[in-house]
Amino acid sequence: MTLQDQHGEQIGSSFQLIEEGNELTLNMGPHHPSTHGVLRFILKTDGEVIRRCIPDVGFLHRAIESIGEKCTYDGFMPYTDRVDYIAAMFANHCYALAVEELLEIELPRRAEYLRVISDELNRIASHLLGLGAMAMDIGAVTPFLHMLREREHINTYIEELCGQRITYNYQRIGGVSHDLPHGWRDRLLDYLDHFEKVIPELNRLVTGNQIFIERSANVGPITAQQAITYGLVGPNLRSSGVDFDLRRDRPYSVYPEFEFEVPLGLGEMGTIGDCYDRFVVRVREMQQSISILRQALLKIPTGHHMAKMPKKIKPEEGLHAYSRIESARGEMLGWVMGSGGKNAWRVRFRTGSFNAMGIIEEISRGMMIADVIAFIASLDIIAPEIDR
Amino acid sequence: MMNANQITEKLQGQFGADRIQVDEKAKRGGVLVSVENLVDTMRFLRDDPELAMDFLNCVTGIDLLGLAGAESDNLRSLYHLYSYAQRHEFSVSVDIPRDDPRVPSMTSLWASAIWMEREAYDLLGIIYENHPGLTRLLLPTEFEGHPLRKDWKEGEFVMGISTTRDTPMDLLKFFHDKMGGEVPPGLTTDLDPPTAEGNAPSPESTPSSDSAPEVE
Repeated sequence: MTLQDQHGEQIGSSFQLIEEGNELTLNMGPHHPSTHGVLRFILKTDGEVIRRCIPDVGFLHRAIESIGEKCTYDGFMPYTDRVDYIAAMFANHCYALAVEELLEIELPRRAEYLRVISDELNRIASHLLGLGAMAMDIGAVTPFLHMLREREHINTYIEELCGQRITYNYQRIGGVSHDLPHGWRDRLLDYLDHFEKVIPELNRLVTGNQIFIERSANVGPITAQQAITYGLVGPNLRSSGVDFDLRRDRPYSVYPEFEFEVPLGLGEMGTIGDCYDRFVVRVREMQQSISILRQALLKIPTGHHMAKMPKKIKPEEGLHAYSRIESARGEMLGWVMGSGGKNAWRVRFRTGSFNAMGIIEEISRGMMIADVIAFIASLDIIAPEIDR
Repeated sequence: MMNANQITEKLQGQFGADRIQVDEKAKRGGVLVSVENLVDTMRFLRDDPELAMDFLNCVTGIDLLGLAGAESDNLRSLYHLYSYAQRHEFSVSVDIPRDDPRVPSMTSLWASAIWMEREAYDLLGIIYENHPGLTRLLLPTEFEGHPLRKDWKEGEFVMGISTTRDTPMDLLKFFHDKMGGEVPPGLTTDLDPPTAEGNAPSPESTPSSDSAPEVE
């Protein structure tokens, strides 16, 4: 199997080392433990220094957009979980919001609150895994286990909510599948008090750790200009100093009712937009999520968890709408075009990891091999979200 | 910050109302332009200080073949734009003839187009001209055809791998033969070939079929 890079140049065949002068072509992946999911990179190195790093994706391509054309609108809902299985709630939300916009459905406020609560819980769980995995990639195994322990607790809460731990299928077109279980609210508030103390523990273990700082500060800085033109989104964009959060600046759901801050990369240990900034921004985002969760749990109104839905979802042919939500890996765009029948004509997801992959080749030029691992980990890339 | 109508009016003022067609089907507003006008329109959208669309959010390829209400069997490339500076959004779509699906690439304006256009090429076969390297992204290099096109049919073999499988009942038949004609309890036997008397299994080959319910 031959392989071409994005400039159409032949860069060798699979699983083979090619030596040309001082340049060594090296295969990394697809089963490399530090790539998040099944990812492959072709490195052209001069000793330890990378001349080019060419991502090769598609190993987890499951044709989700094609399945979306073959299912009914609500029948596609469980498939959206698989867009990003670490943070499945967001793809649910994204698709449901796009279809609701197509049908012009108003949600009951309780349903919107339940969506915010489940989203923010999932954001914490996803960031925990992302931060733990980044620490592990750099060489610290212990924090990963601590983070997984906390993630298990959150999974248990979500399991009580919807019966699933990974692929939730909780948010549906027109609302959410279940209302809060009895006593869940108070128990989650108690858990948040506990979890708030975990973040200083993480900071002691990793964020303030001298080895971690030296491995991540000044590594792979992305300027604001680069981040915008390459379309980085979410925490990756904010750590480059661009003050933009969809929840605040283009609000959806009931986010305008909450007060929260948008953490930005400040270049505390090195340059703005380096790997350390991307790590710290995610840690601070978890704190903000706790704050949003507390406000939502205290303010949640009574009412129904599902809107009154039409019996058959049949948007007009050719009509198209999109939704943009702030997922754990940044802005996710879901776009749906109606066919006039019970299936969509075309479904599209544009995800955060996909855009983040595009910048790797540009930034990694001249890096050391070990730094590329830290750089890729700091972008919080999840392979299924790239390939869909 | 401008809304979609204001942006459309500004574009029509710049390029003339005949070159900028309103996309009535877009929920949040958008325009349809021709392939020749695409680059000018997009450059204007990016560089005009009032519009300042600095973020190319999404490139979507669409196949309109067979869509009820569509006038043609064109392919379509849809661009979602957003402005971080002005905080407004817009969409531009361009219809591309099916037999010669060529459209100028946006990679010189936004680098995020590099990967998104590769994906649209991969799945729909839209050729983005002047792209730095338009190769397949998600599917293998040897893959034939563009599967999100509505006239694409899955072959019997894809890259040497069969796309059809034996039915599970055939696997059961294998199990059935291996067990010496004995059928596991709870399973009725549609497995035997139809005999002259009908489809009913012979009693000696299925000793446990008495307890199992009959299925027609």
